Amino acid sequence: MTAGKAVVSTGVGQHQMWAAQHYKFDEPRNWLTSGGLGSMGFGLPAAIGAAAARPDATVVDIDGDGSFVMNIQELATLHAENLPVKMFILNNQHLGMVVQWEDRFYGANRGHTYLGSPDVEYHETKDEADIFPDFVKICEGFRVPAERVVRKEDLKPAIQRMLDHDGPYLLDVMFPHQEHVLPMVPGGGTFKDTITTGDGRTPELKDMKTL
Amino acid sequence: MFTETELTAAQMQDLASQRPVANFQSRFGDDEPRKGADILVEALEREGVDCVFAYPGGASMEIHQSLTKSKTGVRNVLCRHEQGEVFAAEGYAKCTGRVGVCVATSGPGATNLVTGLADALLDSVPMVAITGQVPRRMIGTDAFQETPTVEITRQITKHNYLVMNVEDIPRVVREAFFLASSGRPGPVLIDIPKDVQQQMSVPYWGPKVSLNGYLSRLPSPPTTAQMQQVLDMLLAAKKPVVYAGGGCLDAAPELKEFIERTGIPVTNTLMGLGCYPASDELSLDMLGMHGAVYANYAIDSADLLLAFGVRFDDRVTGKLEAFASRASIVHIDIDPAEIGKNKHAHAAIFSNIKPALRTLNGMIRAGGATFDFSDWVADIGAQRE
Repeated sequence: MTAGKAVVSTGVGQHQMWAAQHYKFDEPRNWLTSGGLGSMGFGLPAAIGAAAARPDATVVDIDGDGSFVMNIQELATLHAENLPVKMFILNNQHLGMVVQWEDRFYGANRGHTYLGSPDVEYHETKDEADIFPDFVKICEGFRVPAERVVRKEDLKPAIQRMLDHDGPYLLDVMFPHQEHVLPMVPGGGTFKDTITTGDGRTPELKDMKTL
Repeated sequence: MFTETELTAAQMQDLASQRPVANFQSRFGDDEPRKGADILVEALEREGVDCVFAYPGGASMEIHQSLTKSKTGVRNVLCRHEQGEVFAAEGYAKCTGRVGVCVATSGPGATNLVTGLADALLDSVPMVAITGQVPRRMIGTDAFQETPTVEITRQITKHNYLVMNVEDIPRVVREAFFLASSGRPGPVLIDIPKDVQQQMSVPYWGPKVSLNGYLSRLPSPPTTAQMQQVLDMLLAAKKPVVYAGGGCLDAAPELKEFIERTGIPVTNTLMGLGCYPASDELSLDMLGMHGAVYANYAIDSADLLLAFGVRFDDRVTGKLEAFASRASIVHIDIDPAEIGKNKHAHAAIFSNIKPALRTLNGMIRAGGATFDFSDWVADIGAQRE
């Protein structure tokens, strides 16, 4: 829908890897991601820098709920500086990449990777009111238009509304935390160790070669 | 530019000392004393800076006052946290290739830049960060909003400066921009005490950069003899693969021509995405921990690995001994510290990839060599299923 010409920024984690795997870049310098340091919270501010540098480009931040909340104050900058950044939050209510490693190597024992509400878990109740935090409401406070997307069939029209809107726009997209980024070569592994199957619904206690 | 043409030491110093904006019209008279902060802002204007990411504070408000009076109209994008502004400066630099500029105050302002500086260093992003500092006479007294910024950022910047003399500002800013954008790009921090910002002075824009050691260690363009080594390995190979990364972002046309002439499949690192068109049939997409199986297969089966502008990062290689274990390795990189750091290179070329590929393309064109790796490409293609 952006003809492969958007400037895309990301936070760090599962959403970052999916963006790298699925968005096809034909030109350099349209892809802004924290690689070496892998610093969460990078997505929104980097998109701000890009929007200021290239006002003609469509700038999209593909973010996670964990990464996005780390520099959420920059929503204020979008309104104050009138920067038309389009944002996706791939919201699984968890610290996705760490959850994936927990599922694969630690038998799905959760070590402080749940980011949703302590009182209710959205993935159990499927009640939108239980989604925490409420990014749509927060955006309202920062005067940035926002929508939540829960069903696959609603996604494309929502994206179209986001791209057609003149100004910043956020889509809070809900998806299951049991999804894993595949393929995966475990840290310190070799090509023979490549994992291509499975997800969080079948946790394992695999051997990690190194950290 | 420096690493693309053969230059003498004197020529290098002259070029490095030149500012991008020629015939600059200052809003001050030539002999008019003005504040250090005004000299700093004019130095930024002479570097062609049109946008900064600055958050004010006590030790940096002089700079902000000067920014509001900028005749060239330098824009400030006011982020709401210094970490936001330093990441924004990175985003600016990554999508344009130009130097990103951010300004923060002393103490907590400077320490909030730390993550972004480390990020810029690890991803080789050209950036100049300017931080206010407490007045010179108060340094070291645990003054209000004081932190030893230069000490804190020493290991996470390409270079840093503490300006103790207002007359140094023109030279320091030119050096900072030059260091940030030359060789392997990186973040440079300039720490300026408040009283230096307030001191009245007449700037002299003439001084040359004082970076003899650095200039002498920049790579020169590679010789035909060096690239002949690579060409010979190419002619002997049956299963070559190009492993291209962030170092190739400014060499996309040269890389495209090289692949057109040789038909070698290309895989990109996370930082290199886009340096070769992903929609092309010879693109193997991303390799590494979460890379495509067919990309990692190609590396594993290859007999020649052409490593262009990459550093064999652990997210790409996994177990080093097993990575590209069947291949001879050609490693071309602008940072000599990376060559041989993780994997032994059978042919090591210390160079900017742009002139290296230009030379190689020229040699292939002139020599009329042809290549046919279609069987190998088909083999990899079978893995895509």
